[in-house]
Amino acid sequence: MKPFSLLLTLLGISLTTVFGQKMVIGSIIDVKSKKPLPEVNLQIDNSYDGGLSDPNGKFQFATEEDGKIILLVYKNTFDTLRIPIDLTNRATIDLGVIQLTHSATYLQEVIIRTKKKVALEANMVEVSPLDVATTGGSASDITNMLTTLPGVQSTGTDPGMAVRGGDVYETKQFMDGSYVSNPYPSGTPNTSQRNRMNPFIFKQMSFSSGGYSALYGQALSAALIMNSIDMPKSSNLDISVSPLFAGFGATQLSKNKQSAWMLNYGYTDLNWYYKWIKQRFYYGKKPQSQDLTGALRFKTKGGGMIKYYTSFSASDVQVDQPIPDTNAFFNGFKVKNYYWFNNLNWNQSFANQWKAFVSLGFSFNQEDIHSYLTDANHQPVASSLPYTDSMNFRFFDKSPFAQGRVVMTKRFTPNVELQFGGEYWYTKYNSQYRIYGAKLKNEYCAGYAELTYDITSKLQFVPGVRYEYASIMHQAKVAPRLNLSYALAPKQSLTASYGIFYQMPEYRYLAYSNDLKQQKATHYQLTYSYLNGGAQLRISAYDKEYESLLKTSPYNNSGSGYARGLEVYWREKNQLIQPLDFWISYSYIDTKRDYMYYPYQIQPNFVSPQTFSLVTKLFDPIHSIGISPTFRYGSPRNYYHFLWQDVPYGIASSGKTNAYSSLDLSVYHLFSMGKIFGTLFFQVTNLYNRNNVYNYKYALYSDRKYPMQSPANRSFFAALFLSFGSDRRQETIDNNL
Amino acid sequence: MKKIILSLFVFVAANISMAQSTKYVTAMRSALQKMENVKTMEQAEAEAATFERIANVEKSEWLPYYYAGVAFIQPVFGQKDIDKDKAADAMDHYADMANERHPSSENYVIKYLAAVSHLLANPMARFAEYGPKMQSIYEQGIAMDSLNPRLYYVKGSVVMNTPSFAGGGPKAAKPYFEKAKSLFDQQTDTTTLQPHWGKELNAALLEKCN
Repeated sequence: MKPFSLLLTLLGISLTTVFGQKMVIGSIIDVKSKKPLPEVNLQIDNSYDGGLSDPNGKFQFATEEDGKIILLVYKNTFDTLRIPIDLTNRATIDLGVIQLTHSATYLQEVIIRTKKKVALEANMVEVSPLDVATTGGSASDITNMLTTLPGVQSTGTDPGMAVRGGDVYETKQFMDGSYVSNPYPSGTPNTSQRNRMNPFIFKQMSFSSGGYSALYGQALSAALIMNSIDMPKSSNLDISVSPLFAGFGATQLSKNKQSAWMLNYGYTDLNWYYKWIKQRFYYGKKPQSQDLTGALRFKTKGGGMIKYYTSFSASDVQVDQPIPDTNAFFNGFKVKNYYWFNNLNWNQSFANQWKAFVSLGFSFNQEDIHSYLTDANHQPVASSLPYTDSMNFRFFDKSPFAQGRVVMTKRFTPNVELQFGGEYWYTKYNSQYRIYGAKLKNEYCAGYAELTYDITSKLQFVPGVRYEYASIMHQAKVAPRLNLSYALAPKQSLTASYGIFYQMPEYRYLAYSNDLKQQKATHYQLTYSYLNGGAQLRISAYDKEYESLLKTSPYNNSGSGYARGLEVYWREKNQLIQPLDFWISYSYIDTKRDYMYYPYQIQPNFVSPQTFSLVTKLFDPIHSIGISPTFRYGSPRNYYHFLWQDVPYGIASSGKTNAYSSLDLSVYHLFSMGKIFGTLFFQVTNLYNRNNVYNYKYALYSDRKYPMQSPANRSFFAALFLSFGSDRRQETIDNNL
Repeated sequence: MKKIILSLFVFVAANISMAQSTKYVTAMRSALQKMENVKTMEQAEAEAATFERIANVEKSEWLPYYYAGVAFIQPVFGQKDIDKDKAADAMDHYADMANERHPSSENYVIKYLAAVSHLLANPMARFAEYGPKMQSIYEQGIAMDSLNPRLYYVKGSVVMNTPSFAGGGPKAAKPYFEKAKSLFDQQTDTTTLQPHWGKELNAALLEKCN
């Protein structure tokens, strides 16, 4: 601007000031916190004139309006104020301190972004497929990744997750509303297994280590709730090759993007791998499995969606494991497993804030386990020694399972939402163990309701109740669940939870007794959480009381136990040092239980009182290389020498294992060749080759014991994933920005 | 990734015909002139508030909301220490408000940049979520108006700053800038309030690709 025109402008402004321009000044505070409110817009109704409050809540603006006006005071998430002012004959109008009130819908708006139930989310960790895939050492196994979270332990000897002192079967998994009855392949004893579910079919997985929603039940400790993706992004072909497996997948998205199908086949064979990497056990037949999955998607009118998922898997293994009593013999196991899982679900919104979710499921599990005795050269032998008797048997199980679920959601006001519905499970359990055959049939039904009520913008109350009936035990139970969350400050909240959780004993035990009852756990939990963008800190204290736990010698519900602990979870997503993502989990637990064959309350032999994980993920976007080291630590576990001859069993002695620790590393490189997008993936677990012992197993008739360990201290994994697709490349480019 | 920040510097030409000198156009002109000096988040918020006040009075106009969204582009891509999520939320909000009044591919340019801003706040953790989102916004914009040069320009900027082994880089971005250039050259309406920014920026990036 030239000096002359500047002068004119200045003159012009001063002239208008003289002739009728008025200044409106004041400041704004939040009525509750009494703190200054910045970014509040002030505007004279039907005029452009106005201003914005500064970081100190102060505002001032000039106007040429005159007479009686209405001043609008508005800010997102606050109630708009309309203040009548008379501007006549005034040069400066000081409005003093204006107080703004949070809209009652404030929390609602926050919730819509992070999902609705703040009070329940305090007990949950949300996990994305990428979180799983980029966790070092996980090799995309959902369960492996979840064991880096506080309160979640891997027993090392059984597949699954031991949560807050609970046994692995106390954690249940649900896919699109369907209970996944057999999430792990039946394997040989004392080895852990990968979760059957591929994380990439999910848009989101929520893991709750206690105090989960009334919509789910039959898990004493924890629930993993997985929601599958809606529509795939594009059509493509996928190929994966590795010394351990080969896979092929196809995805077809229709032109109008209203429907899609997906098909995947995978073949795993550890034959080569076990030749290269020495295993502790002798494998008569190295683990082999085949998986075939398919999925269909249809968009319905009005934004609804119908989804179908089916997965069939077959696995086969034969292994000889040592017997603590002797070096002369081995216990051989031959395990064959078939599992077929189906889920069909429909999600639809209706007028007047109604939503419906219906899901139907069917699954079928068949396992055939041969246990036998072999000599030192792994040839089957007969023996009349007393401890070998229990080793010769065949277990056969063939169980169809059908289920249905309905969840209705109705939002009454922006602050009140009700979810209610019911579910029905039908189980047939046919098993044969030696000469004991069992044919069981169970109908389990449940009704549930859960209310989400924002009492104020800072206080959310989520009460729920669940009614359950199981025909096999003619028993009805009512399980209340209460969650109350209070926002201490923006981004900080305190949540208190209480809930009762029931779980039937496993069918293999129900086969032995007619008067077994539901087992019960009561959860009390207090959680402080701080959430700020990528930073998340959560501190939880909990108490879990067990009643009516199953005892197996003799069969009854006289077991009991408790678990109390403190957990810290801190996650930071590269706000400070880009691009780094890490989380730290620490748990302390004090737990004892009397269940199964335990003679009295003892600290379970699968529990480490203290655990620590550090998961770090580094990604170099320039070279597209990711490096993810994961460190895990578990303090020494107790092991016990049970006296199997006594009834009930006694404990002759006990000891402590060494602490468990492991450094796992995954390295991956993303690349493209023309229209092919690829990922090259390497992984080593237990990098420093520590000789970790999970537990000790004692001989039946002596105090000989042998350590229970992974088949190998260190494991290696390498794979190449290729994706072909016209659209996929673009997506990849965007993905790798 | 820093290149994108500089390359997306937005210049809003305030070369608007005096013929439309109604109260509305005058207010818009004066606000657009101030836009050139917007550098910080606070300035962008004040600028957006000005546009929002105009939008509150002129209930049939969509451009005030559109430019309220534009106000944040400069801080997002020119400033280091700003809350990118907050800015992106504001851009998204204003673009939605504008689109409610007048569906236009221009609003998708803003929504695209909002998604880029969300992504830049935490690229590692978010590329899976925002990559496809950006692509979908881009496609929706193209579906509404395949002749909007700004869509190709913002898309090209993103491709340009994607590593070349992942299919990005100057070579891959060049067709987008060329397409944008041919469309910018056909742009005649440079004197009204209608969006017409981006020509010079596009030319500068195209130059870099050669």
